[in-house]
Amino acid sequence: MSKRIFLWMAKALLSGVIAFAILTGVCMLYYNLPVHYDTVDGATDYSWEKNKFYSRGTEGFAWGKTNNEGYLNPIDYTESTQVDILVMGSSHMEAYNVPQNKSTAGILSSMMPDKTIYNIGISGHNFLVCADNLANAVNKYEPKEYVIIETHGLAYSDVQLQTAIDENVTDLTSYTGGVLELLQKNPFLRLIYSQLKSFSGNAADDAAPPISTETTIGSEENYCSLLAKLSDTVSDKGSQLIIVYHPSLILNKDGTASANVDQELSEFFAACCEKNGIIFLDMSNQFLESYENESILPHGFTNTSIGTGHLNKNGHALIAESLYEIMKAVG
Amino acid sequence: MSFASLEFLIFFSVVFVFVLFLQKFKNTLYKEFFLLVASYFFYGYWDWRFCFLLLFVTVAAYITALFSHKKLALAVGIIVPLVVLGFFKYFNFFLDSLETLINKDIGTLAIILPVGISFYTFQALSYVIDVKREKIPAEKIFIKLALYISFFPQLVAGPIVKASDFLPQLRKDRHITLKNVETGIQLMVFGLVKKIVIADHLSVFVDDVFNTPAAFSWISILLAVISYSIQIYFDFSGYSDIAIGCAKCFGYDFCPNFNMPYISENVTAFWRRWHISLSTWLKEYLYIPLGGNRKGKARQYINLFITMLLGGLWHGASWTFVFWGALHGGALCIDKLIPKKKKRKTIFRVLSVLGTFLFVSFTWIFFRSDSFTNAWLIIKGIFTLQDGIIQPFFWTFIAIAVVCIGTVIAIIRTKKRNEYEVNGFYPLFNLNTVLGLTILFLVCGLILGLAFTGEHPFVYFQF
Repeated sequence: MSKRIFLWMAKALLSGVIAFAILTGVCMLYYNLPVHYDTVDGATDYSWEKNKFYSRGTEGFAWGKTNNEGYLNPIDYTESTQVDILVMGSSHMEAYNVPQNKSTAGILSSMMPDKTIYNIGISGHNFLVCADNLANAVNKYEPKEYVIIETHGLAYSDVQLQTAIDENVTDLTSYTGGVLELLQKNPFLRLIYSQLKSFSGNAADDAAPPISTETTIGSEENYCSLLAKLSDTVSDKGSQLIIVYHPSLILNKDGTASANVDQELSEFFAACCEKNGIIFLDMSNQFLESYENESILPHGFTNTSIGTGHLNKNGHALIAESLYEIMKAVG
Repeated sequence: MSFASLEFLIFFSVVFVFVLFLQKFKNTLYKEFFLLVASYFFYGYWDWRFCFLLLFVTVAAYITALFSHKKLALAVGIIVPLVVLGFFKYFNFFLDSLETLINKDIGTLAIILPVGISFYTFQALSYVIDVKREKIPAEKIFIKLALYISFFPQLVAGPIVKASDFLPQLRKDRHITLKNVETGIQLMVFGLVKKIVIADHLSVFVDDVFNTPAAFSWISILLAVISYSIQIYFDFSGYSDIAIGCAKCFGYDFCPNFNMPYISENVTAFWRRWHISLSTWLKEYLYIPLGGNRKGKARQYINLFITMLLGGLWHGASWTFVFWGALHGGALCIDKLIPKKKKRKTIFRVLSVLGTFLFVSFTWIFFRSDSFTNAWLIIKGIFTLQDGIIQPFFWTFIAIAVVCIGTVIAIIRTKKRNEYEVNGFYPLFNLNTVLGLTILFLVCGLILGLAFTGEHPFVYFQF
């Protein structure tokens, strides 16, 4: 009897190893995220493993290779690289759900082949984190023409705004070293971790960053102080700051769509930007126009709920076109 | 506590270990009493107050069946579950309908619909009627009857197990055995794949389109309707597989509830393959008592129509469900009028399957829509070739591929066995081999990796 049990356990172990190897192989293509490490320069809180193949099939499907700094960027960066336009933002700008040449930065690069556009957008870096890192990023890359910061939301409380003004936003943590790093290197285990996190009600690792649901909107003073600081940081280097705001569209029962925007806040934010010499690009109208004319939504993929989640190819294209028009107009 | 949850996994494991221990006792009542307590715990996990209703229905069935030779007892035995069902599920529906009819606000009551009420009231009814028909003797031991009505694998969403199928199993000593566990676990795993990998992903697209049909193009709407046909099949058959597998682990057998319904060549065949336990129940306890086909053709059609109309209403307190039942009732009557050939050319059989699938999918529009207005928007969208969002949803194509591959394998298997009728089957593996175990682990890994992680309860919970 004990021999039979032992034999069965040996078979089960062998089967487990084989199944695990197969699943890992499948996940190499389906869900292969690099490990992220803290950055020294502080341009972003972290960056991915350098020159590493990645793929994601959970929301859209795209694959590519991180660059020599660990960003999802078609070009490498060396000290001799002269960056014209620096793109910052969250996973929306990072654009791991679309091919790199279909991201906002990728499309802009093809529209302006003579400019060097460098994208350091990376997951979790919402507007406040970008604001916190802006000085380091500008110091390192010294963009000659523009700095673009992307945001999916505008609502922040006074406490949140103040931490950004003080450059005191909590850093996003990297779990590296020892067993944890080793476990993250296995794509199947990484997928399971993300799934379990999502099952337990937390956002999965690759989920779109939540739109701030802050109900106590910060004061005009704090918003303007932060924006003034950001503008100064960028203009000190002779560059122009552009903030791109891309709200989701909500489908109405009658088939029309409306932008998920707090109109008052958006107008006030725009006024604050104007006062501080920042170009504020609110994509609501372009998104709505594109929906009305072509029934195209800027967010969502063919394997997720339509209109929700990350920017899709259409969303990136619309943002890139709008940015191109603005930059062309500014000259 | 949904089958597709961590709570259920823990609950099932604990119950399994205890039953394994209790089955050492010669007296099976210990095990059955424990399973009964566990089932009430499972049910009370939703809302403990529901347990009293379940107990009430059980006590009524127990007492009335003991005296079923008396007309009054039989009448009470039939009326009690029907009144319970009627009050909790249909009271507000009838009030609403009356309000609309007389165009006057008469208000509604705040009634919570107890989960699974449609299923266990039908089981209680089947028990009382089976005793009266002398198919089974009245159960003297209350625990056994209570366990039959409340046994947790089938309690909240079926299959509707007939008393004559289950009570005799309680009279024999059914055990947890390696063979049973091997089969049961695999059935549960396949059920989970159907539910949380395929059906739940499809629900994302279906919900999007059915919530705002006016925004989508005709092709997207058509795809959503097809997706819903597949979603509801995988959702409910997945649930049934888990229920059947779960019961099997404890040594009990439930009849299959689905048998590849979308390969049916006509609506009559569809109802022999879809929600088999409900269609059998309706046939035995409604259609036949109404007269069945014994009172001439005209009465047969009327009986069929009434049965399907009530079958529709059973699914939900809404006129859209009644209309869905009426469409199926009408189709069954028409189908009865058409003479059947034993052997038909393959092309005609394929066209019949396609036609039946399209008809059934069309009727699902009313089943899924929350109102006739919404259903009309869906139908109008398709037939007017509406412009709008084009969403070639990835999981729809995966689901269609799974259905097609499963069908082709079943057809090949049927041909090999020289059978005429294509039947579904469970690809059960020998878990004493490396290959069998590897496949099981692979499927488990895929469930973990591909499972839809959002909230999406089983479709049939609402019934």
